[in-house]
Parts: sequence; C-alpha cells; structure tokens
Amino acid sequence: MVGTFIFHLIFGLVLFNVLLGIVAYLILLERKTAAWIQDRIGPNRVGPKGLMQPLADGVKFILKEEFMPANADRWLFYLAPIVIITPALCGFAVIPWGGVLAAGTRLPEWLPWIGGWAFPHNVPVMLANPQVGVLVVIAIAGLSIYGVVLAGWASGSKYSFLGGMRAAAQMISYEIPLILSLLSVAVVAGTMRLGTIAQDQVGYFSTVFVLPQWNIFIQPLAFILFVTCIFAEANRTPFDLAECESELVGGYHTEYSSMKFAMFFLAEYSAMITGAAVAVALFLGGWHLPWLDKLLYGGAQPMSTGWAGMFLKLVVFGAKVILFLFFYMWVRWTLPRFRFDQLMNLAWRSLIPLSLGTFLMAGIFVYLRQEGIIEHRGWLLLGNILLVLGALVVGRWLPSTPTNQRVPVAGSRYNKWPGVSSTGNA
Amino acid sequence: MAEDVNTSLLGLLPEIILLCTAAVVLLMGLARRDVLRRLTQWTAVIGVIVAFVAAYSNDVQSHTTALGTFLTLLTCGIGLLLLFSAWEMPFAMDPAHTDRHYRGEFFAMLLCSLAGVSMMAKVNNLIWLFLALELVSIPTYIVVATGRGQSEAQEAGIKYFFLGALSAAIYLFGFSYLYGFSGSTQFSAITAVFQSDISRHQLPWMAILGLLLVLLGISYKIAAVPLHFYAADVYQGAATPVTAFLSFAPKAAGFVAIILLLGLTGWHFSSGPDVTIPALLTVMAVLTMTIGNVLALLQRNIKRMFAYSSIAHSGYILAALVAGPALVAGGGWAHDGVAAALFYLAAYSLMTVGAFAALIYMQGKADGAEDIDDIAGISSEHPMTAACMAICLLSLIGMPGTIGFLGKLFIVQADLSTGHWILAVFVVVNAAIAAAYYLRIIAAMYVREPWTPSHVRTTLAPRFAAALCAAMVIGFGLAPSRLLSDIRHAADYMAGSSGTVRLTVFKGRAKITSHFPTGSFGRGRRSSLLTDPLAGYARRSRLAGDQNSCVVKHEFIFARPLKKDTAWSTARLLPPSPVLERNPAVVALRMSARLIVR
Amino acid sequence: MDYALAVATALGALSIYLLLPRGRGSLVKTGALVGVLTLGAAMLYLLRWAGLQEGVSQGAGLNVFFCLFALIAVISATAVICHPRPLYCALYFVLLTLALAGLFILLFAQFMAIVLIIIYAGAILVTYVFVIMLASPGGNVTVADYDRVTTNPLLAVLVSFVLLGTVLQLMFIGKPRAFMAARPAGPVAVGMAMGHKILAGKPALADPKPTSKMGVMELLGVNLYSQYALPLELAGILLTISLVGAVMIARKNEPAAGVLGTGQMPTE
Repeated sequence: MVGTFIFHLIFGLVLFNVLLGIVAYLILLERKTAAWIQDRIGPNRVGPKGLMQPLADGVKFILKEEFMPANADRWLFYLAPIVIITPALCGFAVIPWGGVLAAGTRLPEWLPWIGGWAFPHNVPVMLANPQVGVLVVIAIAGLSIYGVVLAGWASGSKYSFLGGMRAAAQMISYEIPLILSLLSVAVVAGTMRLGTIAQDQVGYFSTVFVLPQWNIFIQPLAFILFVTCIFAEANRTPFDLAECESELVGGYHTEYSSMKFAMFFLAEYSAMITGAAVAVALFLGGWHLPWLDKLLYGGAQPMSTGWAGMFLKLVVFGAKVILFLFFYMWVRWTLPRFRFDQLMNLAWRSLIPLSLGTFLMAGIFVYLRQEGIIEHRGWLLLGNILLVLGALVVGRWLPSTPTNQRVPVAGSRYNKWPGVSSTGNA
Repeated sequence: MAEDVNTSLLGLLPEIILLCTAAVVLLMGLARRDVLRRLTQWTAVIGVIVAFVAAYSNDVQSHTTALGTFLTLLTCGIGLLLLFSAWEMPFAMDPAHTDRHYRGEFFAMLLCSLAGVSMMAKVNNLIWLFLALELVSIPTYIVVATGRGQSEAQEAGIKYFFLGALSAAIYLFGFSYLYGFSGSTQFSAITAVFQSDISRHQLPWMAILGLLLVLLGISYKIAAVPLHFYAADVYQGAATPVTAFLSFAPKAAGFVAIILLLGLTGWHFSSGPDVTIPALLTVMAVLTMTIGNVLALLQRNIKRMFAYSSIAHSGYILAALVAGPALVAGGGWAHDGVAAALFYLAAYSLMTVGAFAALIYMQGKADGAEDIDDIAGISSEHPMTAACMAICLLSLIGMPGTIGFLGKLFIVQADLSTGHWILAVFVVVNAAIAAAYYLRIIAAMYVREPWTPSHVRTTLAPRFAAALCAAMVIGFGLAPSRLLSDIRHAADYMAGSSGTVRLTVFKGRAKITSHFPTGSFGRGRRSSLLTDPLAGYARRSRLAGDQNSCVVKHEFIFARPLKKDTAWSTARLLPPSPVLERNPAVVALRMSARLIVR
Repeated sequence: MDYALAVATALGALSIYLLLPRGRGSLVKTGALVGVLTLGAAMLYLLRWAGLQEGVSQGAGLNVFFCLFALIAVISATAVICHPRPLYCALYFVLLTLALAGLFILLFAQFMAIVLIIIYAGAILVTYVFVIMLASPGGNVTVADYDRVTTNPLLAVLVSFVLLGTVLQLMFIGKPRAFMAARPAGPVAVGMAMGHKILAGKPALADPKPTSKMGVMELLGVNLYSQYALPLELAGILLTISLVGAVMIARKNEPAAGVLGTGQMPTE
C-alpha cells in the first residue's frame, strides 16, 4: 500500500509538472501552427527558433498590471480563475497514462535506509482508476462551466457577461451528446474504468484484416460526436463564440489581465490536454502501439508490463495525445466560427439525436452479444454506418432549419407588421 | 428476476392500458383531421372501460391484492364519471379559441393521473410509492394551471404546484427516515423490521419520526389539517371539472398511501404501547373535520364551500383510520376502520363527483356554476339535474337511505367499538354542522326565485354523469352488500391474512405451502410471490383450492446453498401476530431464509 | 435527553437566526461568532461520542476527511440560506454539493457522489446560476428587498431546529444500535456501519466485506433493472408528462397569429 502511494505521489508530481510544461509549449506550438497554416514564420526571436518564447510569455504575464474594473464583483472576480483552473487540472487524475506496472523490482541491498525494499507489484500507472471513471470525466466537464460563467458575470462588463452566458449555454448543450457518446463506449466495454476501456481496445479486427480494434474504428460516429463536443466544451474554434474577438473583444476574460488571465490560458490548454487524453484513452486505443506490438510482444500488448513496457506505453500515449492536440490547432486555424443559432441547432437538432442513436446502437449490440447472437465488434461498425445512412435519409424528411431568419422585432426595419413584435404581443 | 417483473406487469395491466390510452389520446389531440380530434374523448372513455374490464379478469387479479383490485375498479369507475363531467372542458378553457390545442393533452393528463391512483395499492416499495404519488399529482398541477384561460387558474396552479412540491419534500424526507431505519425500501423488508421491533413492544424512534413526516406530507394530498389551507383557493381557481378531479384523485391516492404505510407497522399502534401515531391521527381528524365544516359555513362560492367540505370529509376518513383494521381490534366487520375508510372514500367520490357534474351542467358565468346565486331557483327549469344535485348533497349530509349515511354509520361504529368515542362524537356533531351549508344549497335550488337567467350546457355528458352518480348514491345506499363485500375483502388483506405457511427444506430446495382464506376478487389465488436475490426465485408454483381457501405450493431455489443440518426442517413460520404484507408468504419466506442461511 | 446536544442545537438556532438576512440592524458578526462556537462544540461532542463508541483505550479519533467535508457542508449550507445575495447562495449550494459528494465517497457510494456532482452541480445549479445572473446582471447591483430580507425568520428557525434537535437527540441517545433497529445487513446498514467506523477513525477499507465480486456500477445496474425496473419506467413516464405539461403551460394563446409564420395549425 505504502509503495503504491509513494509511486503515485512521485508519478503525480512528475506528471503535473510535465503537463504544465507541455501547456507552455502548446502555446508556442499553436502559434507556430498558425504561422505555418497562414504561411508566416511565427515567433522566432527568443532563443533558438523561438524556443524560449514560452518563458518570455511567462515573464510578460507576471510583469503586467493587475487590473480590476470598478464595478466588478470583487470576490467572484478573484474566484473565477481558481474555479476555472481546478477542474481542468483534476481531469488528469483519471487518465490511464501507462497501463499497469508489474515490475516488482527490488532495490539493491547496499542502499542506505531503503535498501532491499521491493517495489509493489501491479501498480496502475494512473493517479486513480475509480469504478466510475467515465463519470468523473463527465462531472469535471460539468464543473468547468462555473469558471467561465463567474468570470463573465463578475467582471461587470457587457462583453464579459455576454461571453459568459454564451459559454454556459453552449457547454450545457454540448454536454448531453458528450455524455451519450462516452456512455456508448462504456456500454460496449462493460465498464466505466478508463484503464480497462483502454486495454479493451488492444487487439485487431481479425487476423487477416489487421485494423486495430480501437473504438474509433468500431464506433466512428461516437468518435466524431465526441470530438465535436470536446471542441465545444473547450470553447475552441469553430465553437469559440464565448470569446470571439470580432464581437466580444475577449469574451468572458476581457477584463482579466496578468496572471489571472494566464490562469484562463492555462485552463484552456489543460482542458485541451484532458480532452485529448480522454479521446486517446477511449477511442484511439490508449497505449496500444498498432502492428509493432506484434513484433515486440508476439501478440497483443498486455495490460501489465515492466518498466520498459511502461515507458513505451507512456510514449505511445503521449504521442497520440500530441497528435490529437495538433488536430485541435489544425481545426482552429482552418475552420471559420459558427453563428450562435447554428451552434445551438447543431447541438440540439443533430448531435443529440445522433448520439441517442449511437447509444441505442451500442445497447442493441451489447444485448445481442449477451444473447450470443453476434460476437464480432465489426457489427457495431456496421450499425454505425447504418445509423449515418439512416440519418441522411431521415434528414431529408425533416423540416429544414430556418437559416438567417429575419426576426420581426417590434420597431426593427425587418418588421412588416408595425407594432407587432416577434412574441405576438401588440 | 424476469418472472418477478412479468408477474408484476400482469397485475398492472389496467394501469398499462390507461397509460397507453393516454399516449394515444395525446397524439389524437394533435391529429390533423378534425374527425380524429373529435374522437379524443371517446378514446379516453373506451380506454377507461377496457381498464375496468381488465381489472375484473382473473389473471390480473391473481397477480395483485384485493385492495389493488378494489382501488383499480374504483378509480376506473369514478374516472369514467369524471371524464363525462369533463366532456366539454377543453372547449370552455378559452372562450376566444375553440379547443383545438388542449383536448388531447387535457384528457391524457387525466388518464395518467388516474393510472397513478389505480396503481397506488399495487406498489411494493417506497420509491415506487413516491413515484406513483407524483404520477397522480403532477398532471393535476398542469390541468389546474392550464384548465382556464384566466389568471385565477394560473394563481391556483402556482399555489398548488409549489405547496405540492413542499409536501412532496416533507414526505420524501419521511421516506428517507423509514429507509434509514429499516435499511430497505421494500415494504416486505420494512414490515419485517417493524415486526421484530414490535415484538419488543416499542417502535423505534426513527420509524415514528419517519411516519410522522410522511403523514404530515401526505396530509396535503388529502387536504387534511396541517396542509389544508391551499384547498379553497385551488378548488375555486381551477376549472370546475378539474376541481371535481381534484376532489377524487389526490385524495384517494393519499388515503391509500396512508393505509399502506400504516400497514407497514402492522397497525400495532392502535393497541400497542406507543401512542404517538394514533394521537397524531386523532388530532388531525378532529381538527380537519371541525375546521373544514366551520369554514364551509362561511362561504358563498359553491366551489370554495366544496373545498372546505372536502377537507371535512377527509377528517371523517381519518377518524375511520384511527380505528385500524378489524383483525387487530380483534373483532369482526363492525370494528373494521380500514373498511369503513375505504367505503367512505368510495361513497364520498360518488357524491362529490355527482354534485360537481350537476354544477358543470348548470353553467354559470364560466365553466360551471360558482356563486350560490347562479343556481338559485334552478329546480323549476331543470328538475332532473336539481334532483341529482340534491340527492348527492343529501348523501353528503348523511341522510338515511343514501350511501353517505352508511359511510358515516360505519365510521362511527368502528370508532365506538374500538373505544375512540371522542372521535365518534366529533363525527356526529360535525355531520350536523355540515347539514347547514349543504341544505343552504338545496334551499337555494328549490325555494329561491331565479336570480340570473340560467345557462346550461347542451352536451348530455355532465348530466349523464350526475344522474349516474345520483342513481348509484341511492342504489348503493339501499343495497350496499356487493360493494361492502368487496371492500371488506380489500380491507381484510390490509389486516394481514390469518393463513399458515409451511416451509420444507430439502437439499437446497425449499417448498412452501400456504393456506389462505380468500376474497371474492382473487378466486383464491394469492400466489404471486415477490422474490429477491437473497431468497432465490420461485421455480415452480402450483395452485389448488376452491372458492373459500387455497393452497399454494412453491418450490424455491435459494441463491446460497443451504446448510445440511437444516434439511427436512419443517416449521410453522407465520408468526402468531398478524403480519401486514403484500403477501404473507413473502415475509415468511424471508424470515425462513434468514433462519436457514444462518 | 442529552443536554450538551440540546444546548448546541439551541446555539445553532440562535446563530442561524442572527445570520439570516434582514433589512437593517444586521447582527451577522454576532451570529457568525455563535455559529463558530456551535460548530466547535459540535465537533468536540462528536469527538467524545466517537471515543465512547470505540472505547477510550483505543484512543480513537474522528476521521479527518469526515470532519473536513462535514465542516464545509455545514458552513456552506448555512451560507446558502443566510447569504443576502442570491448568486452567492447558488454558489454555496455548489460547494455544499461537492462536500456532500465527498461524504458519499467516504461511505463508498462513488456512483452517488459523482452523479450528485453531475446532476446538481453540473446541471441544476448551472441553470440556477444562469437564471440568477440573467435576472440581476452586472457586478454590485443592489438586490430588491423581497429577495434580501427573510420573511418569518423566527418561525422558520424554530420549526427547523426543533426538527433537527429531535433527530439529533434520537440519534445520539445511547448506541447507534438503538438508533437503527437490529437488522440484517442491507446495503444501507453496511454503509452506516462503515460510516460509524469512519467516524471513529478506523480504516473502513480494511473491512473485507460487504461487496461481492460486483462493483458499484454493476450492482446498481442489476438493481435498477430487476427490483426497481417498474419504478424506473414510471419515472420515465413521469418525466414525459412533466415535459408535455411544461410545453402546455409555456405555450401562449396568440391572438395575432402568423407573424413568424410557423407552427400554426390550419384553421377549421
């Protein structure tokens, strides 16, 4: 017990610091990516190739003036950055970074004090693997709304307030398909432990057709839904209406400066990492190194490995996360922003029905598997494809969304009925 | 486990029919064709009738208790009358608009609420009980708020909803204590725990606290004293057919819930050492009937008057419940307070729905006559309806020859024979007070000259409902034997059965043989055994028996292996004191299972 | 009757009464002082009680996490009803929810804890906060009197604390066995027994029982779809009805139809 605790303590400390470091360099990566996509050079002054830029940014943040608007709510203004950063960091705890460590190493006898101490067997390389792991992710996503809303309201500024309200509405709407797509994965895996779900994907479709049986290939629709929703949850483009510069200056963090602003930055990128890590663990096979594991292990990658295996897993997992983060940035600098009604329509009229459909499919699959009628997971892939086709067919019959509607508000220039507002009251 | 669900589902067939009808009605109200929309009411009526018929079938009855069947039949019967009296209701909701929007929703809400009342006696755990109570209440909140296009209705709806939510919180709080005290939400487990505590001659404090909170919370549903004050405003504000509905559905549900929950204690309080609950019930009963009647005297608005009279009648029923069931009191039919309560509930529903139907027919300013002037001198123009109304009112007073007289008689009898003479005196005195305001309405109809030109509805339905009610009030008043026997069996179940259960264990299998006297409903088949993972599941059940008794043989497989030394142990397992349980066999089984596994 | 407990309850009542927001002559500081005293006394009482339960020789104390979560819960619950500004009340409610989730985790009800956070903090209270913010935008805007001043503080405090006092007295008279009747180990009984252990500072983890092979989620699923299958369905029906009812109540009867030209039925 004590050994496990010490391992987790050290692992947690290392993880936390590494991730915070990664966050700093993510910002550099983001700027470099933007520059690359826009055919610019990007930051290149500080250090070799601009590699010290994050340090300069940090110093800049610390040296800036702390500012608070006159009619801000003092307490909440201070509280908001804290509230926003906490859930973003809490998410790291349940991510299965590296399987189970089954080293059982015994320290050499000649070491002082700790000589001869045996390292515990079978330690999960994650901070916590609770039975309700997936639900923890959902709960954290739910709590992350508060920081944004509070920041928007406490600033006492119209831009901030609108940004906060937009963010809250958006996050509440997108939480539903997020939860449903997570659940359809959990239902198929038969567990809510993230570690078990990750290990569940280690393997291949068949001996001939060597596609890894990752959930992205089994439930592609759920993956697409999930990715869309974490983009929205992280307030990233194309869903960054809460902070869109062209309308709301900076959105909910307009009035923040210095380290408080840095907290918002940090929270955004931490949330991105958490989202990417959850996506990797649940959909992209976790630590599974496709194809090569056959060479290394002669079969599927086992759950418990020694030190070398653990580091391999950590590297694979980390690489997938970084790739996914690059995907985040790629999208950000490629896609334009939605309009607010489009955003809401997308959530309520497309994503939620579709995610209900995927959940239903997963349920049907699990039932049939339990009854012994079907065994192979490929059937679920077929179900997902059928669902997409069905949605396309049904979509033709649904009434179309009124786009770009001119709402006849009383007194506006679109109002053809003078004195009658859109709500029908004279 | 699967057997368990299927078993319960068959017993719930009438409720399922009602809910399905509600869904169909909901959709029909939205239909594009006017023809379909006109059929909405008829569909609702047919659904209720089918549910009524289903409740009569043997298969359904063998999977539920006599009380469950009785309540379902009562609900469907009264529900039919309520549907008739609400026939034109959606047309009247908003005079500027011909219905079109609300018909489907309105009747669907009524049907859902009826389904809730109907399943009330079939529940077997606290969560289900809570949900059933809410299923009764939530549709009523909605129809109260939307029933009329006037601000009074919205005010009434808001009041009703918020106070209802408060009361739900109170009884849910009580449930949590019952759960905490017993460690289970299942009635059978709670009963078993009570049983073991009662044998030590005291109820645990936590259970008493829970029961007190539950009783206080549910007193809202039945409009009894601590939470009665909403009644007048809500009854007045709601549309008259909705008011009629309110005087039946929540009340019936609330009383059955009280009966079930007091049943959990085995009714031991009424003769046991602990006086908290009987004292509370007595005080509630006395205050409820007195306050209701005295305040009713002061009203001019007929709907307000009926609200207070409804409070008063709740007091009478509470007075009956204090007496407890017959078996505990150790006497026969005359001692049976539960039967008296159930009888009075049925009687009151008939009388009050009849009176409201007549009021709806005699259309006043809005959707029903409201002020006492609205019905002044109406007997000359509409003698039939006035007569129906008068009959119902006389029955509410308790005139001999009507069902109301019998109801009060049974209550007084039960109270006197169990030694609660104070309550009996209060019932009698209050009946006398109540006569004053009921007679005032009758006098207005028959003696006074018409005050305003009378309007009546052209539809036949409310009039038909009123006539039916009046006929039944007289009919059951003169020949109550059938109703009485049914109610007696229903109440008999509540008292617990005096049958025996025999358990035989052999090599991990147990056979249970039980003998029970039967009621007229079940035709001797109280065979449904609700099992749980501890007890194992019924592998095979066999039934035998005749009209008067039955033998049920169950073969059980236990989840855990039984010990060898208990093989072939046979015991009489039903304890000498009556157990109050959905099915005595279950209690016996659980107790035995516990014995054996130890 | 346990007089120490009665005094503590009375002190708590006094402090809540003083803390409840009122128009003028606010006595918040006095109330807070009394409240802190009460909490301290309650903690001391619990310590003594826990010691009595386990026997003094073992030198048992209270579980640190229990104390922490309980203190946060009590303080934030007080703030929920006593804070003069609605938004703060809602936020304290969030805090209360989190503290309760912590207590649930101590009782090994992980699912309950997380679902409490998801549903209360993540859904219901966000809506509350949203509505409150929309109703009172901006930073330091004064709230209307009817939102700020408690109606009938004395009555409310009396009723709630009489109830609380009764419950507490019943709970702490004698042993927990008298509080709960003797019964077989259902899930709650086990939970409560563990709770008592946790209260007494014993490691509940070391307890080899009560779980079988099934985890929390599996047990919950099996229970929901066997014993509670019908209530579950009933809850679904109830929600559907509420939804229909909400639409029914929210729908307006628009006399001037056709402005937006959508959703209108053809006239008969």
